[in-house]
Amino acid sequence: MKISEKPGSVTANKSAREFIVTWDDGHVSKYPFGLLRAACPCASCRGGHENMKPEPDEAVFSRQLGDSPSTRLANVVAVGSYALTIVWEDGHDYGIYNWHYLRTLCPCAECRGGR
Amino acid sequence: MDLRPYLNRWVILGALGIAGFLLLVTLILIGWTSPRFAPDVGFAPADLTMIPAPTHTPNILPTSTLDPVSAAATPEVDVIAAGGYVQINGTEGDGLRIRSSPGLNADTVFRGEEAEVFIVREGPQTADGYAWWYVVAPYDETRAGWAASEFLAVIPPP
Ligand SMILES: [Zn+2]
Ligand SMILES: [Zn+2]
Repeated sequence: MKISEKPGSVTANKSAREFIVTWDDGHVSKYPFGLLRAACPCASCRGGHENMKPEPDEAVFSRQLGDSPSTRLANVVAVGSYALTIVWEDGHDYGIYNWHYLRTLCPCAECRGGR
Repeated sequence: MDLRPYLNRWVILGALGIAGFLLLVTLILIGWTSPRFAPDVGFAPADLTMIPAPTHTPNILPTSTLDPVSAAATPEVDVIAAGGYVQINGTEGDGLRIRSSPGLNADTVFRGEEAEVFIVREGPQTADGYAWWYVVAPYDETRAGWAASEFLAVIPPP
């Protein structure tokens, strides 16, 4: 089946510190908040516009961020129909996570195995 | 027919009031019956669920007389030690320079991110007024180097 980049639902579980996207094709992606923050797609977190590609850097998967205001999700805001902005408790809110980026960020064994 | 006696100011004001009221009613009805602005969004904020964090209830320890033997056996929590876990803390989001050897003049191997977790391998060594620990990222052996303890917070093993 073709990989869907259309989300069915999005859940930010602050209790489990986990961000869950259920995709239209039935796949469920579970992102620990630390991974989501490590993969913040904004220009300043990615080291400038010249380093920005549509997929996450491979390095974000080997970084482990623990609990801190910078990895505590404060709010999620829809950006039109194509993306989400995540607001962190340290005030950082520049990252616009589009669906393609989130789908390629899925850390599950099935998605990571293909790399 | 002479209408002038009927055209006093109250009649005019009343007519204006009724006209305004009818206009308002019309606008409300149009607003209710016209279709909502609903393009094919595919994803609407309604598809978003927020589950709040549990309200933090501090662990109130029972006031008991500590058994001196078990108290001595309890490892201290806030001390950095080889084999323990630490997290970069207090860099205001700037991250922390992880260096090739202890000391402020050593080369920066990479910049650890605020909140990034490391395993402590060895140390401490003192240099330039700081205690330095050799730390390694749990999932990337190449992400390793010396870090000043000033910006490391002890965390429990994940
Ligand atoms: Zn960012
Ligand atoms: Zn996946």
